[in-house]
Amino acid sequence: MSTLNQKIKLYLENNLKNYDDELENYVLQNDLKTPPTGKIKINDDYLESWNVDGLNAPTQSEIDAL
Amino acid sequence: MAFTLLSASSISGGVGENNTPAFYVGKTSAQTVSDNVKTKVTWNEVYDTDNAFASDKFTVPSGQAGKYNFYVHLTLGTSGSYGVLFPRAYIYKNGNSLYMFSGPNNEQGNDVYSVTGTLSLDLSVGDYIEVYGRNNNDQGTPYFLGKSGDSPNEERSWFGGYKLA
Repeated sequence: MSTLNQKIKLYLENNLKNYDDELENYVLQNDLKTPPTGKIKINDDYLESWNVDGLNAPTQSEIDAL
Repeated sequence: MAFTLLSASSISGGVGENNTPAFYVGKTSAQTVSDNVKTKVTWNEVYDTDNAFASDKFTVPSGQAGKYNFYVHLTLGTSGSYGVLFPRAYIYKNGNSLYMFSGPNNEQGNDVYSVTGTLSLDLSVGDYIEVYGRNNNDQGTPYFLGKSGDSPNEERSWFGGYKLA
């Protein structure tokens, strides 16, 4: 199964963004417990913040589909 | 030139104080983490003078507000022969990431890399401090190293703190 970071990388590339350029523009986090409600997640890893210029953060269904 | 000897009781701070609460925690085994995910570090307690360290965090006990010094050393590794691209450790206060210590952003990767930092904080009762790490890795399984594996006798990661005044 792909990790959340692998799926984020795919999502960026599918939207013509360079992964290396965007690496510092999003933050993934794991607090060793269930992520806060509403966060995009895989298991306990979740998308804590997103600041990619010109591209909205992925939805949970978009991540699940990758 | 005249010198005056100072007794411990005449000096404010430092001599004569015991710098508690104080704690020190290590890591007895490796913690597997996900690539590029800021992950809370788990610890094994070594000493904790005021029972203030629990659930992998230090919480300022009742009556102990003040200035504290903290130190952290986190070793990040990979199951691959290299792959640790950008090692980082973070200090969280009350659930918020406030300080980052980082190693080099090495596109060739390292098999292990240690990040070290110290800081002082002015804390209130109930404030809590945690350590997170971020292991951006492109080969193998990333982890935070403990006292095990290829280094069974040496500490690889630790975290401590004590009250200054």
